[in-house]
Amino acid sequence: MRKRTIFLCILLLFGGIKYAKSQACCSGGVPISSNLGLASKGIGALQFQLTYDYNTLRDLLAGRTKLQDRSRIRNTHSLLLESSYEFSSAFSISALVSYVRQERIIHTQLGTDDITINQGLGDAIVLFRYTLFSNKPELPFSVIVGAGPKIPLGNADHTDKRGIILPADLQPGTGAWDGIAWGYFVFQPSSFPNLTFSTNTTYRITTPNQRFNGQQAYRFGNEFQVQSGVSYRFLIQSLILDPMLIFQYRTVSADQVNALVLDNTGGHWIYARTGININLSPKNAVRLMADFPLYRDLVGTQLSTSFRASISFYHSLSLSKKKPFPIN
Amino acid sequence: MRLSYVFVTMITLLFLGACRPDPPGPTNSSGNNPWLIPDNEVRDGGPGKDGIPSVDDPVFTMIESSSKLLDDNELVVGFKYGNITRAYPHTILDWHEIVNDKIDDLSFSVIYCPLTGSATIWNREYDGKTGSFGVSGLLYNTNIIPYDRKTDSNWSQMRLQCVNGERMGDHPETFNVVETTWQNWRKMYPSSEVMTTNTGFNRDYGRYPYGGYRTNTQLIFPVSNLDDRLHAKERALAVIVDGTARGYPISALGESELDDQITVIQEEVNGLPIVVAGSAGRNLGVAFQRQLADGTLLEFEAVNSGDNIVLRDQEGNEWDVFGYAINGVRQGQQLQRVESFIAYWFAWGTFYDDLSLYEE
Repeated sequence: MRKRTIFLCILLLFGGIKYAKSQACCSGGVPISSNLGLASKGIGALQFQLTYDYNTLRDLLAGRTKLQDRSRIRNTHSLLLESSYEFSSAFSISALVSYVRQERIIHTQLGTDDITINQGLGDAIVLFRYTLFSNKPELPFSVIVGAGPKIPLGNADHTDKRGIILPADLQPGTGAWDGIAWGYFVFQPSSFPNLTFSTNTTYRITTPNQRFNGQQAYRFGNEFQVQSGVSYRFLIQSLILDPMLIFQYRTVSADQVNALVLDNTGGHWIYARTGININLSPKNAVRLMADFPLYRDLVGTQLSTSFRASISFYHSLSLSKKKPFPIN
Repeated sequence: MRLSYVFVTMITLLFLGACRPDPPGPTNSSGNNPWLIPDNEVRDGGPGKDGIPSVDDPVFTMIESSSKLLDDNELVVGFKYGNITRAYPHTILDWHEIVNDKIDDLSFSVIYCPLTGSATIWNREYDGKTGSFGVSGLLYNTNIIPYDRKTDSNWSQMRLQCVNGERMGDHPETFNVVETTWQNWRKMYPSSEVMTTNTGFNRDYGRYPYGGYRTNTQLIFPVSNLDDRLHAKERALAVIVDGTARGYPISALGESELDDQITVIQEEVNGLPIVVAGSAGRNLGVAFQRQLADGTLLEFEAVNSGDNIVLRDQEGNEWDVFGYAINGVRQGQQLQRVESFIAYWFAWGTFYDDLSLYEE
């Protein structure tokens, strides 16, 4: 009963956040919070997931209207390594580190391309997780919640070749500590054991960084996102495949410089995420994902994601002597 | 485990492939050239070079057919060359910052910085050829750094100087600019041409892209010196003589902000006799030298005809907002220029350390 109360509180908290943050965000970036989400695999499970994520922003939008303009491209390449370890049936910890490459490409009016590239170690997340419910025959769903800091490992003061500090959204790191709250729900109906429904929710509350020797406090907008989807398992010869369709809602509040709320940052996005999990063995899997925007309502005029794709390699170990855990 | 190694290697190679070195060529092509200004105070504003596109083929319409184009209180940048007058609305300049234009034989660039509220017009002829300016995406003291597309040199708008590149140290040839409300411009120049939103770009021109910036006291980028004698975004005309600036708040040019009578100020700035004419209610301020090229020192009084004539001298000549004698024995002559334009007060303070403030 106590667990259920906690769970309901968290759901209410997330629901409250969703409506409180109607303002919105910058469209960029590094998808570290959307890549959190390793499932529970049992005591002693040590899991790794290495993801290459490509996010290209080519659509210029004013509010919900796509403008006829193809003069600018922003690409973010991210290499994300997430690992998790389960100490007990209830407690686990996961960590995510990133390496980020940012690209800004402008088709200048002289007909040439002006290209700015910056890369480096990005920020990291440590998540302390608690399993409220774990999948059992009589209770075919799991609920895990977690919280932790986003650690500013990445540099936020890289310069270009001329020594000019690049803008905050071209940096590999944010230079600021953030707080992350995370929730994961997975349900496998006993009548359709090949079907899996899951929901992954993340809320990131940000703090300002200090740029230009403390003369500017830049704060990225708070971010809330929820991903809900379904996957269906089937076999092709000895290969276990899980195609999936996920809908992602993301809302980000406006960035701030000192006390100034920046226009042209923040908004609401809905994406369709399609992909497939290819289970190569009980301990190894590959996941391919592609994201397509379905709905975008941005504050002001912004570049927004046109397409995003990722490939992940998953590997797990069991450090306990118990029986091996099932595939994701 | 062997499979693991295969995939880890594959992903790593994929990423390393993406991490190719920066391509040669136009990328940051200013290289390591020195700057005349502290290079650690040059900021990358975010959009990048030409990320805010200049308008290179502006389209105009006659004012008679466009009175509903703007709200009466929207500001326009006005320019006169020969018999042609043109208005460039802030609502368009906010999105493009530079318009490369031409009237008859004169090629010029209207350069406007939304962050410092400053509008200037520069000649874009260089070495006998027509060039153009673009938005470099860089800022100095939160003010636009235009680049010239002939030499890729970077210029500081409010410093009125090339600060980086082949033309470093050069000063632009500037022209008289009149900024005022759309309503007042229509009254002054009812036969004027006005730039339309047919710019070749798809932008949300009805919306100001900087939120509450133009009325609050906040700045987006740090500046080297902050003058807090006035509200940061108070619009002020400044007269610059040999590097010394004196600021005339537009709100001081009248009894109240609604006062549309012309106020005339005659004084010396750095030893140079000048006249300032303007009106708080008409959101107007212009300045000229009082001494003519023939040595005559003029004494002015205000003219409140409501049209473009704002000054009358002791000889009975009447002068318009661009400094042309419209009536009188000196008809057709022009008052000598003094470097002057309007910007937000904080911008004057940060560019001119010894900025003095005109107070009634």
